[in-house]
Amino acid sequence: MNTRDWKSVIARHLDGVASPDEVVELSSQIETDPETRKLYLQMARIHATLAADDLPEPSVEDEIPCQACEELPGRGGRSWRPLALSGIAAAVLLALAASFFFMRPNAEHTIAKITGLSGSLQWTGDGGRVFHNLSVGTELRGGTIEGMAPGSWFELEFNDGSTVTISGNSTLTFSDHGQKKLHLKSGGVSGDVKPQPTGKPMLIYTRTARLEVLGTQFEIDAELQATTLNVSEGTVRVKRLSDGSTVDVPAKHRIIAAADHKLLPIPALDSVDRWSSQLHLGPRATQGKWSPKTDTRAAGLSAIPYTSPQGPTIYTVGFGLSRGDKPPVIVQSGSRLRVRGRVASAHKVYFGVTVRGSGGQFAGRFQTTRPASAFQDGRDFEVVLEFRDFQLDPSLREIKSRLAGDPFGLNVATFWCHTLDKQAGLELTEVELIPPSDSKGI
Amino acid sequence: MALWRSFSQYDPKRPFANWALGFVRIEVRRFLRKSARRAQLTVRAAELLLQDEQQYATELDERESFLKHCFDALPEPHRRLLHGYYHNEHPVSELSEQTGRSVDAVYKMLQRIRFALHQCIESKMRRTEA
Repeated sequence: MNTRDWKSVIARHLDGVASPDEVVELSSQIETDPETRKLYLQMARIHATLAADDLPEPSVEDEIPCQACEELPGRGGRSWRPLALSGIAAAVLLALAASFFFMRPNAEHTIAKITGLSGSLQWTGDGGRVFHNLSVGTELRGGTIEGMAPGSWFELEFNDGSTVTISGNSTLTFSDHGQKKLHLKSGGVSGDVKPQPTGKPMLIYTRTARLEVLGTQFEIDAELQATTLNVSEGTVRVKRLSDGSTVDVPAKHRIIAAADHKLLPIPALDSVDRWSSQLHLGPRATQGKWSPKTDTRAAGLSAIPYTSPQGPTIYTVGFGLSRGDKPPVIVQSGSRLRVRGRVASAHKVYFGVTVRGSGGQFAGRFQTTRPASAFQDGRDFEVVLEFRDFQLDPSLREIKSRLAGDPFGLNVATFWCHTLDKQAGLELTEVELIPPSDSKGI
Repeated sequence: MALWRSFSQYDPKRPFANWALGFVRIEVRRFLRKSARRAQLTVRAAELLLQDEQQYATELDERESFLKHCFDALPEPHRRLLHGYYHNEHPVSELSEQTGRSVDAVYKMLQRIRFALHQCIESKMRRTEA
């Protein structure tokens, strides 16, 4: 039976007038032939749309004009009673038959699996269902992963071995229907991409740029007005969406794709070992509620709550360091963090950093704490934290062997600070990374 | 499709089937009365269709947008026939009586119109790809 014949059988099935034998045949064909399945879906969509009243009504409703029938031969016929709305009925049948696909993220035709995760994450899978209980090894079809807190981290490995990682507050949608497509709505993603099929590079879309990746290591940081790309290995082609201009970015180079910025690769910036929050300039790359400087108070960033379905509420404030057009910030052995701020009520406070390797890969999350006794209700505080006191986040113990033993020599992706369970009124006014060479800073 | 578009309204605390049937009652109530008459595809075929629907979701959406243009381009009588069949839910036998044509003739006309719509969408898709 040729394609034209299947079209008729499909149409009769959608109308509810196909014979049982035809439906058996059609089922068999659908099970073995992708083209028939595609044709079925196309025809079903036509039926469903026609049945859904999405189309404009003709001017005369109650009369079927003879012109519509004039060209047809008049033959006596069977008294069919086809199902109107049968397209949607077909959809219902399909959805009911396969409802379990929506109930589990693991399904056939998965394109990637989770190889690492930590912190608060939200996964939106097929059908718009939202999952929080993700685990390493879970196989996924396309969808959207969101890091919900500054310390969030998620690593995905595609079936060809290419990996992508998001960290911090980032939102990434990905798919692979023969070509990998990623949409980075916000935040940062790094990738280690295997050579892609000819003519089908990995495509990464941000608000301001489209990037073509054939096989390389890179980091991308997407903000509303700009996309920053750092290439460690290989070459990435960048298209600035605002004017369509395109440029190839070679290894060890970076580029900023923004309407007000020259689209020109420049050598990667050397790393620095000193950094300060500079909150008076605004809330760029931060998480928290920013308040400007006043006559009596310094600019500040207040903790905001995030409650995950499984965990406690954390009141968190965070800063992105090695991102955007800024140079990478590294932690030296002997580096310290000075943190200034205030709390409304004294609570135990957690301080931590997420660190990455030079290729952008997640290298761990290290933290330290200060007890409630170190703070006073309603008073400003200043703490100086020695990085040698920072420990690997206990939630990462299971993948400890893959991570760095300490943060030294690594890029600081984010610094965060939080209290657990209760709103302590935590507000930071200044965070400063002090290198070991600076003894006068303390 | 209409059901799948409304997934955002789905309450995960309710059994999926109940929700789906609830949707049907509101949107396509006649389906419940008549679905027993329909010979159903195998579950495996339905599973594969559902998987492919996810894969082609974007393309199918695009095709649907073209359908609106193709529908507008139909001759008025053809649009009325589709309206009588889908919107007014007249069975072919009733349309046959209204028009004085045979059931076969009316049904074949419906088939031709739908195939023409499919063809129209195909050509618009090809033009887009080109």
